[in-house]
Amino acid sequence: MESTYWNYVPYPVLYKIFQHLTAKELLIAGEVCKLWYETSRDNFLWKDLFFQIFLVDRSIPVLPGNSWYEEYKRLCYNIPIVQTENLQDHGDQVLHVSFSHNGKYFATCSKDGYVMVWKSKYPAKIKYIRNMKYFKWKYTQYSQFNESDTLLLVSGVHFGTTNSTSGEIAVFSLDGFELQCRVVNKPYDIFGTWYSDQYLLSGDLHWLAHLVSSSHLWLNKASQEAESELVPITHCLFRFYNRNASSIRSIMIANCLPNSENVDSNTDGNNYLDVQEGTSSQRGNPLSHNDIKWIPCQDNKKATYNPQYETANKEFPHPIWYNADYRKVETETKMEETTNSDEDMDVGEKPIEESDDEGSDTSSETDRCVSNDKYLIFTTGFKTYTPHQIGFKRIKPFKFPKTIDPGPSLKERIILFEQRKEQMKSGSPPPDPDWLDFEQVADKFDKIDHLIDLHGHIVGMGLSPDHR
Amino acid sequence: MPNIKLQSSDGETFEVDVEIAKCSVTIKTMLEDLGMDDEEEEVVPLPNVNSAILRKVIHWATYHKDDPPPPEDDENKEKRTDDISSWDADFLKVDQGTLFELILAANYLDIKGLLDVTCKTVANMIKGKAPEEIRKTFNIKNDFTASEEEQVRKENEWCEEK
Repeated sequence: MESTYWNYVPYPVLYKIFQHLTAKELLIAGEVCKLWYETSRDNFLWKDLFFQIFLVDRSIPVLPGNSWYEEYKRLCYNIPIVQTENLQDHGDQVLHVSFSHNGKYFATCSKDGYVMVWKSKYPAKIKYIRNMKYFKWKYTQYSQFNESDTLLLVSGVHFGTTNSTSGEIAVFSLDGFELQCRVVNKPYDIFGTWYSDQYLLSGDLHWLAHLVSSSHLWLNKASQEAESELVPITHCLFRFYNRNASSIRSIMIANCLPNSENVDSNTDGNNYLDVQEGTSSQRGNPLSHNDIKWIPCQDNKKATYNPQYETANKEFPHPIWYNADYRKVETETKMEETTNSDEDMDVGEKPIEESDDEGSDTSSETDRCVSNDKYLIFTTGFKTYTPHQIGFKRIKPFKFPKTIDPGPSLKERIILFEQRKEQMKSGSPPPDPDWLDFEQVADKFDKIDHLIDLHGHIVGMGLSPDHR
Repeated sequence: MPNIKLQSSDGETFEVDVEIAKCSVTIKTMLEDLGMDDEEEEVVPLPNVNSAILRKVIHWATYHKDDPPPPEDDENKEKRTDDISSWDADFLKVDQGTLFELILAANYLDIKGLLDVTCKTVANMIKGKAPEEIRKTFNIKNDFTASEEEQVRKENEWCEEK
C-alpha cells in the first residue's frame, strides 16, 4: 500500500491546487480529510472566488469579523443579482418596464415617447420599436403583456396643457407589432390593464360638478375589426362616483379564487365602510345586491370547498385561501342574463364566431377567461386628489351583447327633442340632479365592494403572479 | 554557456546550463546571494530532491528554457485548468508518487511554471469527484469521525443546488 502522503501536502501546495477549483469543488475537497478541510476554508481562496463570481469593486472590503467564505455564501443566498447590461437606447427617462409572462421579452416605456420591445435573452436586443409621438403622445408610461404574450398594451399621455389628464391606450400584436386598437384613457394614470387575453380595461372621466366627477371603466376588445357597426367592441363596465377631485387610478385585475361559496346572509354590507352608506341598489353592470353576501369559508375550508371548481379551473391548481379580513367585506353581485351554465356559454360564443372568421381558437379562449370572476383593484380616495385608498370590485362573468341597441330612430329623437322644447317653454325644465349630494345620485353609480385606507399617498401597487 | 552542477539528495550530480538552472528561483537567488562566479566549479546541493525527480525537473526545464517568463498571477483572471500543453500532459503521465514529488520539488525549487502545471493536473483529478472518490484517487486516509464528516457535509449544503 502506498503511503498516504497526500494527507501531508504542504499547505502552500494544497493552496495552489485548490486555487484551480470552483466553490463547489472546493467544498467537496474539504470533505476529504482534515487538512483539506482547513485549506478549503482559506480566506484568500474565497476572496479570489468571490471576486471571480461577483463583479464587486476590489477596494470594498468584507465586513469586519466576516470571512470571505461567509460573504460568498451570503451573496449566493441573498443577493443573486449581477448587472449584466446597461441599455441606453432610450433618449429620456425610462418610466416603466414590463416582462412577458414567458420571460422572453420585456417592454420599456419612456419620456422620449418610444415604446421598445426587447428580447430578454442576453445580450438584450430590440425586437420592436415604435415612436408613439406619431399618435400625438407626449410619452409612453406603462405597458403590459396579455396572458398569452401575443398582445402588448401600451399606455401613454397625450400632448396637451399641463393640466390635461388625457391619455391613450394602444394595443400591438407581438407578431409584427401591428397596431390592433387605440382607446382613450382618462385620466392617463389609470394606466389600463388586461381584463382577459383579448379584452382590456380603460377609463374615462366625466366632471359632474365642482370637484365631483364620475369614473367610467370600459371593457374593450383588443382586436377592433368588427364587421358590423352594431357589433360592440366596447362596454361600459362600471361607473364610480368621485368626490373631492379624486378619481380612480392604477387599475389592476386579479383572478377571483374558485374556492368560494355564495351564501345568503342577514348581515348587510352597509356596516363596513362610510362610502357605502345607505345605498340599497346600484346601477350598472353587474347589478349589485347588498342582501346577498359572499361568506368566507375561513374555518372549515375543506368542507365548503367545491372541488368541481378546481378541476374546471386549470389556472389555479392549488386552492388559495384569502385571509378572513379580506373576505369579510366581499359582496355577491348578480347579473340578470349571465349565469354560469354551459348553455349560456354556448350562446355567448356564437356572436363572436359570426363576427370573427379567424376561427374559434380565440373565441373559446376568451370565453374561458371571461367565465371566471375577477377582481378589479384600483387606487382612489375621497378626501383629496391624492390617492390614499385601494378599492376592490368584483367583476362577474360578462359577455358582450350580440348587437348594440341602435337607440331611438331619428324620428323618435325629434319627438323627444320637441317634448323637451315644450317643457323649456312652459318654464319647468327637468331639474339637473344635484351631483354634489351623493345620496341623491347614488343609484346612478356602482358601489365599491371594499376599500382599504392607507392614510397616505399610494405610489404604486403590485400583484403577485399567482394573484394570491 | 557556462554550466552548473546540481547534486541530488542521493548524491548524484547533474551538470546543467546555468540559464536553465535559473528557472528555479531558489537556485537563482542562491547563486546571486552567494555571488558565485561563472568560472568556479561549484556544486549546488539539493537535499530535498532525489535523482529521479531532479532528472525529470531538468528535463522539464530544458524543454521550457525558451518560454517567456510566466506572467504574474492576475487576481482578476479566472484560473483555468484546461490549458495544459500536450507536451506537459505527456510529461506528467506519471504515477501518483512521482507527481506528488514533482509538486514538492517544484515548490521547493520555486519553479512557477512547473508548479502551476502540476497543480492544475492535480486539480483536474479532483474536479467532478465525490469526496470518497477523491480519497480513493489519491489514497488519502479519511481522518474525520463520522459525526465530523456529517457536520462538514451539513456546512456545505448551501452550495448543493448551485
